[in-house]
Amino acid sequence: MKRLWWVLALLVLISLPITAGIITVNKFEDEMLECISLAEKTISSEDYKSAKKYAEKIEDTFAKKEGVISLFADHEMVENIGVSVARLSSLATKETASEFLGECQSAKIMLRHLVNDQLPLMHNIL
Amino acid sequence: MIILIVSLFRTLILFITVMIGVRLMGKRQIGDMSPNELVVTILVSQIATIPLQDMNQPVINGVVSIFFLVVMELVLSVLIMKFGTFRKVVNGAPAIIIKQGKLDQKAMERLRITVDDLQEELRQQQVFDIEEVYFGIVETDGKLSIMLKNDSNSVAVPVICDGAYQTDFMNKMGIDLLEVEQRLAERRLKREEVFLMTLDSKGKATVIKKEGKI
Repeated sequence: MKRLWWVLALLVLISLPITAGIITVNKFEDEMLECISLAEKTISSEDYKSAKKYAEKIEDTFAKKEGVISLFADHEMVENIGVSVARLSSLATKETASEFLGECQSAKIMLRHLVNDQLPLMHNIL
Repeated sequence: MIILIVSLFRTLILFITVMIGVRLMGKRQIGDMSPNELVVTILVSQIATIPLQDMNQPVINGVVSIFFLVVMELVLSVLIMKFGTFRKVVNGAPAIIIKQGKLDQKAMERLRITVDDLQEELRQQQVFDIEEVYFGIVETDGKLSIMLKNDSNSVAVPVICDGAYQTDFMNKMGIDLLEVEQRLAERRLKREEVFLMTLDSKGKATVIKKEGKI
């Protein structure tokens, strides 16, 4: 039947952005979390220069992926992550190390939230 | 102000999506709607407005949801067409509330139709005396179809639809199953071969054979 072929075509069409969204957001989360963890380690070992470099790398990674991520995720949530990671490089100093770690934690929570919001879990469905 | 351009593009995307969706759902969508069609139409219109009102929502959320509703509507329409029982569950069945000039009060109560509702509906059909009505049927879309006592037309009742006996209707109209089987035997037809068979109040049978896969 013609209608069932349309159903099949639409299901394929629907599954494409869904799959792309899941893969993109997960990959983005992995990349960002890895960089943030490295930045946390370096600032904990008082290597402020490397921490600054990592913070800039985090900012760059975010800037590169922001456009694609916004296609699939809530724009406000993505912007909040952006604001959080943008503060990191200025906080990579001895005096503001604790604030740096706090901001890293905040960014990590938001990133996890971004992924968890997509998962087909009961609390997301209801 | 530049945000307005973004808003225009989002509107355009959703407009095209809804247009494609409505076209895929078929022409019935535009005319009288069955319960499932009404539900899908309401949901589509509501979902389409979310990304328009909330700029933080990705347009893709709305597009995917609308297309999924279209998928559900298409699957439902296939099931409704193929399975009579499913059709009854989803769309309901026509109900006779005036039979041979007599009001079926139980049917009216079941359908939650008051006498005032009935009279209003009759007046809209230029009937001002309930006594004039010979048959009154409430269709699945809630509209009332009537046949007047002095109407020269006869009431044709579907007795077989898509190879299945319409026992509900036959019982309500007092049509005997044996009579239907006899009419089929006269035409050397089996029930499964019949697409539509109607029997009118004057005893005339109309049979349309199945043409193959529908």
